[in-house]
Amino acid sequence: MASSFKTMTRRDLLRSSLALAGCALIPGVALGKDGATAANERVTMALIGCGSQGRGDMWNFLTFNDFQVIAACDVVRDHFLEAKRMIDGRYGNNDCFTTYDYRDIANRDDIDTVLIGTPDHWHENISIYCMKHGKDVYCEKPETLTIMAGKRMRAAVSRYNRVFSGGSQRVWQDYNPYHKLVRGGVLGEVKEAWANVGGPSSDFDLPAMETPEGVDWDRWCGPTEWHAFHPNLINGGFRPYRDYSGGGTTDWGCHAFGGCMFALGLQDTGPVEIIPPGPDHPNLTLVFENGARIYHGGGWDGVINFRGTEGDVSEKDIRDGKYQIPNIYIPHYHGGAGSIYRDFANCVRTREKPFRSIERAHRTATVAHLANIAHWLKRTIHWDPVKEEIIGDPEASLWMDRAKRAPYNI
Amino acid sequence: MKAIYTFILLAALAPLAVLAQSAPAPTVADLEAQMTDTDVHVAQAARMKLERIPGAEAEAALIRALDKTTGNELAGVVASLGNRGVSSVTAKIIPLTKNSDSAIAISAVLALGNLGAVDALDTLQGDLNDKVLRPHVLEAVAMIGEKSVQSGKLDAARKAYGMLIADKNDEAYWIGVRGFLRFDSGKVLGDLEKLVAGEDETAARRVISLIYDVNDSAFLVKMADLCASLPAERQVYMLEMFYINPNTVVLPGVKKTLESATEPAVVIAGVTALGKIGNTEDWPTILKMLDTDNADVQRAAEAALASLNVADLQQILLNTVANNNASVELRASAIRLLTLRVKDNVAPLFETLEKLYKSDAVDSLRLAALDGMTIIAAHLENPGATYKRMIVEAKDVDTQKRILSSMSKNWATFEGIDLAFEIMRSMDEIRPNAGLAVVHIANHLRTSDLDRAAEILETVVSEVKHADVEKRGRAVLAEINKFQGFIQKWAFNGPYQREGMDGPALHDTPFGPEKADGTIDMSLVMWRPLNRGSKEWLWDLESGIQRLDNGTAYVRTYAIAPADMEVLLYGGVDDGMKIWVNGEQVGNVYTNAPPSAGQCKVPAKLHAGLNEIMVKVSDSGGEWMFGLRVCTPKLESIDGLKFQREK
Repeated sequence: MASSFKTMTRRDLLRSSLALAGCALIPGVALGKDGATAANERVTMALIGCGSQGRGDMWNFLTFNDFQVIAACDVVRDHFLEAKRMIDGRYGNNDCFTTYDYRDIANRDDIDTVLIGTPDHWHENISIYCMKHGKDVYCEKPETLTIMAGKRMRAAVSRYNRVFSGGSQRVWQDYNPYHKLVRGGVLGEVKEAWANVGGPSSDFDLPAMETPEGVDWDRWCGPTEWHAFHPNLINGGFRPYRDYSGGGTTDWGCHAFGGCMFALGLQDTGPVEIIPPGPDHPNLTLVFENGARIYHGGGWDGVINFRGTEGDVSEKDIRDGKYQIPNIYIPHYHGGAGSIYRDFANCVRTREKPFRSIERAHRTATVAHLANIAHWLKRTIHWDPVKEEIIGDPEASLWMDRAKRAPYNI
Repeated sequence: MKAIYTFILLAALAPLAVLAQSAPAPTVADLEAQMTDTDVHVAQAARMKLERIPGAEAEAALIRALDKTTGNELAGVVASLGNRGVSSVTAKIIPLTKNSDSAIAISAVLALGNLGAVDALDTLQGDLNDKVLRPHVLEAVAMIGEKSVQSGKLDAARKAYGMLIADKNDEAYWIGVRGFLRFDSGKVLGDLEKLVAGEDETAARRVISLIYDVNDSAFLVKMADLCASLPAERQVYMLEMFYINPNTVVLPGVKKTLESATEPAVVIAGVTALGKIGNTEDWPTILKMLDTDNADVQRAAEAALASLNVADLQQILLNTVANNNASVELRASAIRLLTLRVKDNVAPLFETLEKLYKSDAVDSLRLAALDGMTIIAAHLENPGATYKRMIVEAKDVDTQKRILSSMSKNWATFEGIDLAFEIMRSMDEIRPNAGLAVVHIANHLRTSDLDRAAEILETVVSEVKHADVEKRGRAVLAEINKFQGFIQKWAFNGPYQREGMDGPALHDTPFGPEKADGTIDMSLVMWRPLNRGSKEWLWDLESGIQRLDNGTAYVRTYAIAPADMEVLLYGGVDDGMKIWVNGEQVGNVYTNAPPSAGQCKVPAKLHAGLNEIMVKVSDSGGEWMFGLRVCTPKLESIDGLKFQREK
């Protein structure tokens, strides 16, 4: 026990000295007199996956005085060079370390956290590898490519006691008024919600093209089956393909399903039945044990909708002020007036669970994955949300995991 | 038995066939042969497919591959055997942890973890000193412990977790602690009790964070019992963890903490936890927390009380409101709670509040009663008469304004607008406020009747002639104008779907209306009026044409322009649209997202007279919608521009 704490790391020292900096009782971060945090007290971060989404996320952390981004990693040279330009520009130096290989980041002791903005098929491996090497993780959504990946990531967060935040900023920021309306009882009893997002991914079908210089293509393919290079894939166009993504269902789905589940208080469970579209169900329907239903599409305005016994709500209703939003307290958000980026940043210091904890991120992604499986197989899937198993359907169960290509299986 | 196996094998291969499109599913023998292909991509793909095929045949092929592969292919085979839980190969995998190829060595370590290989613990202990292997060895030992607990081999689990606790490293220690809490918490409880109350903040928080997913009752009870004696920051953290992982065994500890709490943050976290874990009989504890002037605490207590589902909550709250001995804060909070979900017995509720409002209670309580009345009035049989009476009887202008403002939020109906107009025209002192109420309600109602809302706004702006009313009214009118002018007269052709083609592919494939180059007889391209599916600015083609996923269709209209002009085609689509003006393609967007106005902004030229506008609208699944407006480049309406469905 205490006598065994002989190897205090840089991060442990940071946590000890600044553990209270972001907690609920202290309104502001303990800053120096000019508002800046001393360099050796800043939490250090590396960006892994420097495409537009990763860089966009990173910009938030660049604005935090108590954080410092010190490294950028991508399999595309132009991507990490663009990130380096932003990082060095922010700090007025030329210090940002760059690499093609995320293990160069994970193995450095002076990096406390990683921001993962890679395509979905890399999220699990990089997250677990970095957690195993002592890093806290902010990972873009969809956090997982398969249901089993989520279970493994959750086990790793628990095993290593890491701070992990999923990357759906909308669940908190955009959909907050819905949570307050639904949880505050303004709509009466709410048992129906709509997640109006795109559909599933499908087979890979891009033609082979020559790999340009400055791209580590084998590493881009990583744990998935190898396909020849195509420029769409390194420029955000990977989502239509099952090898790399669950398509719109998991992309915006992680926002929308996450928002619906949180408002309905279902964020820590899952559906019991997933019914694909059919003559009686024009939209895929997720049925929960308490009778609540979330529909994939079919809503009437905006990304999510809710219907209760005393009213329904859409994005337009929120915009138009149709309802007075009740000022109720929603626990487990530590970002103050900021965002889930600030939430993660504060939790890194206090060791609290971020709003988009791995449990919630995984539960949300699971719903999206189950929806895809039902779409692909065109039949109803029965799910045990406690055991997290598909019931009585060996073929469907096979979709819960994928084999990985070596050496990227590690 | 064979039939069952064949079924499972076919089921397993089916997704592979889907992945491989139309190619026949490979056999296990094919895949085994491919595993040693000189093309490493073929070899790895074959092994990856085999891993996912259940049954003895695939398993045997993978075992044989242990002796036939090298390098990354061997690392992959080792991983596959570990993932499948083929424990018979443990003895073969153990030596591979010493392999000079780190990919193979790490794969072997992790495979032993996946296999729950207790026999490998001694070997793994030796590997803990290898810097590269160490993080993976810790993971493997933890997995061996987890799997041993799951299978009831508790001595094996003790060995694994004991090895971690004994390791002189912080990280290993905590992995071991977490492991023991799953089946033998007594081993670590004493240590954790000291750490959670100790001076080391990091260690204390690490203990508390265990509550998140540890369900050992002895541990939870011990933590809850200690909670009241901890520093406030740790109390908040612990109470939030109790909320996240609710377990009734912590209830006594939570209540004890609440009873002694003075910090608002502790009370908020405590009542929130109690609201989730507590029973209906816990309402007095929470009600007591309403007795404060801290608004955040009140809100948290109100939400917690509401979530307890106390059957006679309304009566309890009414009694509280009527209780002259209760504090002002408590009574005001009870009023807010009563108005949060107005359902039954509204008339007596209104009467109680009116009585309180007219009493000689302190002003803050009387105002709380008034605010409650303005909310409840909307639910009475005749809201208009009630609001009017309240305004007329109000003792001063400020009170009248307060009632008007609340009415516009809580009774946003056309009847409310009529009453606001009546007040605006008869009560000069609150004329601007009545005008603002009209604006507020009209803004709210524009979703149901855009034209009527616009008409009302024009009237109130011109009648009141007050700067605030004018400013807000014009702002809402500008918003309405954004959605006015969307084309309402369309004909359609289609839909088109093709086997194996998704939305984007169909979007880029020309069908009848796009083939006006003489290759087909255009008289065969049939156009039908689009009569259904209009939703404000959008057209829902699933309603207007056909419910489908992955399809496309064309819509067409004719614009009659008063002169030659440059215009902006402004719209939104779910999921993609191509636009032609007079036969020339001018725009193409594929959003693959819900529709929003402004997704499409395409400049175009119209000439005086008749102009054909054709739009191809494609769908990738989910909704199939579009909306299009022709306006000036500054988003203004164009005078004299008209549309017709037919030429």
